[in-house]
Amino acid sequence: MRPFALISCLCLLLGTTEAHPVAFKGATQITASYVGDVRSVEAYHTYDNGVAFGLDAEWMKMPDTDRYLAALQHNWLVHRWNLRAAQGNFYAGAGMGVADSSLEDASLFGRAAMQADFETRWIYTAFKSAVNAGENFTHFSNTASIGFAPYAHDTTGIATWIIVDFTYITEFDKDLRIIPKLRLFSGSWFLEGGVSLDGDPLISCMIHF
Amino acid sequence: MKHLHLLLALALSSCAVAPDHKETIALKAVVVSDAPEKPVAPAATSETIVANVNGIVCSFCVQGVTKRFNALGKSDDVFVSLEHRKVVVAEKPGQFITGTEFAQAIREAGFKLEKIERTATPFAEIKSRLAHTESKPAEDEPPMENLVTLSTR
Repeated sequence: MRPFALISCLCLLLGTTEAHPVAFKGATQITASYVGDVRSVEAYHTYDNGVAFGLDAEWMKMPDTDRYLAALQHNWLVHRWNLRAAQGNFYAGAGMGVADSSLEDASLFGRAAMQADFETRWIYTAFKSAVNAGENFTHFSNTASIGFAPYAHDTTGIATWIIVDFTYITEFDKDLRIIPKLRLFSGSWFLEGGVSLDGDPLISCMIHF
Repeated sequence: MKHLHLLLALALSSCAVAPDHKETIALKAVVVSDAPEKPVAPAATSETIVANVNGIVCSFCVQGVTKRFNALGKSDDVFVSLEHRKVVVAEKPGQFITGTEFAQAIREAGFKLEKIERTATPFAEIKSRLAHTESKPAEDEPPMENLVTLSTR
């Protein structure tokens, strides 16, 4: 039970590195992430206004074995507030996948998720919550993020954000997990790096096309 | 004397013919320029569209706007100023982007269109002006000449 919960929780933790779960119509975004001994790749395609479909795969190196998790997920942009110089969003997501430590142990799990965020050119805030429910485990993940831009960015050059993630995952984290990170945007690229207060490195990159 | 009469006759006849000839040319020119089916007319009136758009806050947002106008196939260039909340689109020569098409592209990019204006000011000039001026709350609109507000419906 514990390995599945661990894998799923880390999957959700990796999910905090993605920007918006739904992009503009026709966009595809691919994200690759590394957090400690965990690597993940995810791809989402926004096939119409406010709806995206995609898949993700994670690999995790544990002390005794390697773990894999693969899922399909559909995301909805429930509402967007386009304000004068700000944007707020509320997203919902649902999916299902397969978790295993070996082919014999493969089992299905379901996923439900939500995200709310608000950002201006200076401030970024987000809250994500998700539940993964499998045959052998059910757990919740909650992540709050807050960040600021040290300078006003426009469409040229690199946009810089300093963000701190606060994550709590039931059945996995005994304490709040805090990850300060640096996020850089340039054109259609996104690069993120940081180190958790526990010492785990984080690096993530994403591209839109 | 005979020669003098001949010269006078030639001079008078040329004066009488010249106005008719000029008038004929002028009429022909009017006919050409007024022909509705001639495709040359839109090329000469290629314009720049300037829009106020809410919700654009990052470079990924800009990517979305640019991609949607590229998909429309009628834009020559697109510029977005986060500072001024403006989307500037240069029409391709011979193409015309309607207010409805513009509004749809903005909506598909995920944002809210506030106002569209059409201007004869060149795209490069507007881009340069927006890139080099800071937005002030009291005067958010940089002055531009020949602006015509379009309907988005």
